[in-house]
Amino acid sequence: MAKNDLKNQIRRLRFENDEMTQQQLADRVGVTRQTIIAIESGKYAPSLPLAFRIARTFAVKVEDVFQYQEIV
Amino acid sequence: MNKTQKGAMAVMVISILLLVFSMTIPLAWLYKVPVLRILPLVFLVLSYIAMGLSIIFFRKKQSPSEVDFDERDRIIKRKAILASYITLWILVFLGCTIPFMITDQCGIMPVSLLPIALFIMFIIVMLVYSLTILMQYGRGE
Repeated sequence: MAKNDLKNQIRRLRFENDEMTQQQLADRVGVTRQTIIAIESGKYAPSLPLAFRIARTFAVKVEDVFQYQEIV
Repeated sequence: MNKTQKGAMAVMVISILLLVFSMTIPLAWLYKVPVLRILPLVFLVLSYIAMGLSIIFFRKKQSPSEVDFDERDRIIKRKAILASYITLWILVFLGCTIPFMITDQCGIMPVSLLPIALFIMFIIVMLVYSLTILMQYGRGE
């Protein structure tokens, strides 16, 4: 069975946006800092609305933040 | 540490203290040693203190803009409720079968054991609920 893997560019995007901290990003998208840590490390897959909110915070498309990979 | 984690931590500490309290009650009844008779009261007082301290623990917030609860917390809570619900079913099954195994069909047991057993079951369910939450945060899910 194929395993789903969601890669993300949040860490890079944060540093490109005036070295935004995890807490600042969390406050902007309305989640806790722990959730941002979990998303960044790939341990938690965010909901679609949250993924859109994160992308809009960085003014990029969702695909630029999250990349879906299927590992066989 | 967010609100859900703090809540789970408080519930875990209070549950452990109340579990010890409820387990020391039969000991106090069985043995007439003065130390053992005071023991349930000590743990009851300790659990009250823990309840009081948890209110202070809850009040502390790092920043006013900090979010208390989000979608990940909701998922974690849902899983914890499921785990405690399964535990409740297992405990009810064991609670219905074990007395029959021990005492046989015509056996007798003190009525006072029933409220203690029900209380212990409730505390175990709460303990499972809080531990499931803390474990999920610990794993970073």
